Amino acid sequence: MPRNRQQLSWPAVNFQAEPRLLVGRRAAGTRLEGYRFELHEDVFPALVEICRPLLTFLNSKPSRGYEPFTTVERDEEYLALAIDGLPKHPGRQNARLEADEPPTIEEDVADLVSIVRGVDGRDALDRQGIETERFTFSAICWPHGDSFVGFVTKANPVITVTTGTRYFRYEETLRRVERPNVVLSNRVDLFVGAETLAILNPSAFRMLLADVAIAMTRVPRDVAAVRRQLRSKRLPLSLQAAAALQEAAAFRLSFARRLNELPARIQELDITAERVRKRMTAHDLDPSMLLDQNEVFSFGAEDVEHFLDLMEGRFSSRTTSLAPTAERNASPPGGNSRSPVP
Amino acid sequence: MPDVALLPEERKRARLFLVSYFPLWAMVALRSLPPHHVWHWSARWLAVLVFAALAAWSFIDGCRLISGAGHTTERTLYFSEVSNQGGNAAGYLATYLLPFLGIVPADIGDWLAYGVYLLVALAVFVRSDLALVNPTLYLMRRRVVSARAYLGPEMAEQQQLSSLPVLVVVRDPAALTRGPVGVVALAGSFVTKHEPAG
Repeated sequence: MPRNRQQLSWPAVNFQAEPRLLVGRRAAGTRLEGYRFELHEDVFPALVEICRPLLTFLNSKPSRGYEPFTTVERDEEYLALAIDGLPKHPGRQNARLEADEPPTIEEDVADLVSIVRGVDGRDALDRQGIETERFTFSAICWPHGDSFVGFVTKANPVITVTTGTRYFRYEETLRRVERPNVVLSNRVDLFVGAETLAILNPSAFRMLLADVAIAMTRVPRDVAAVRRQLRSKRLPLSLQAAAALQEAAAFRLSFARRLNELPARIQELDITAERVRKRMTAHDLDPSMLLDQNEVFSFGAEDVEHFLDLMEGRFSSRTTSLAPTAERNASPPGGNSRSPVP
Repeated sequence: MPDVALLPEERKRARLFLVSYFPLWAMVALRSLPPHHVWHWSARWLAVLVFAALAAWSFIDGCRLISGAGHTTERTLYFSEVSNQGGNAAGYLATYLLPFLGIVPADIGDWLAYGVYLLVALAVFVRSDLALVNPTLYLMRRRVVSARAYLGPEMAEQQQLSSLPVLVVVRDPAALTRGPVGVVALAGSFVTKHEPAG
């Protein structure tokens, strides 16, 4: 069973209040922009039906603390993260002064939280906008104190016509129906609570909070851990190389993900300067691109990928692998079918 | 051919324009009544019927615009610096409606001139805030005020809905500053749905 599982108690949401339906998409760069749909009161019960089961789920299933790149067992658990623990948004105040930024409750929270809490400040889309625009996510927002909580789904709620959705089974016949303007899924990916986020779909979470680089928050700690592990192997990482790792991982999600797994990997490695040089030479790579004469890992941002490949064993063969000793000994004699890559 | 289709907001403003002329339609209908009020088919009775129908339509449409807002999602806003716009409505009565009563159209040229005037007034109306300077709303026991609107009770600068005051159709202007107010958008302005009790 995963560690740190705990049962959280979520504050009740007043489903008698009037919900707001929000849609949003990526704007410039990683920023999000959101719009409201004006709703008639006869759709309120349908929105309750989507949201109430999720709250029941959150109150009945265990949560784990959020870790980057972790996965969740859908329908069995979820991740929890305090909203105060999110990275602060750096530039909204300036952007508001320069452009016509919509009003917000708070200046420095992630866009998604800001949009949910400030849903009443968003422009409403007219019919043409609903029919023609494409969106990245939708959120059903409910008043909670002076603010809002939101049930967020990372999907375009405005569907395009497909054969499968143009016909409904009705009294054992197929009947054509007009294309609806909005179709909402009952799958919720995130719950933006008053103080805590519930994450049911980590990849949706990473995408929707890209403006505060949520996936990169562990990068400095991971780089420090890599330095510690390499120092213990007597192959230290130079400050320049550490900075290169940090810079590269801050801009590429795949690097951040690989870096996150690297400390545990290095701990297991049987790594020496001689093995590193042999492995790189065997792959027609100049060892000095990563390892200097003093047996210190020293490289720039352009060689980060080589470093990660090396540490992950992608340059390895059975005889000179950097993979753990036990792993190499377990390989079948003469066989190369077992890859040391985790 | 130029695109003359109105945007949804402009359509609502056009409807509010007709609603704002409810007193005029009613007054012209009454003025068109023949001296002895005896029914017989004539141009005067036709005018009575047409203007009475316009009056009824505009009043009912005004009620529908306001009450229909009560069936859609509200927004919760906080208001400050509330300023009554009643003077504008009274001025509107005096300048836009009463002059029509002074002259009785005598021929087709007069009717066409009035038609041109109404079209120009409509064009101005749908592209300005005049839509809510509307005496008919006062007959419905509503008032029009301007106020600054905010998303949160702190009323901080970044919470302000727009840099300019917004127009609000309200039952009790004093209620706007008592706490959170549930409002619905109408033609670029707001109609209150839930007003905090005193």
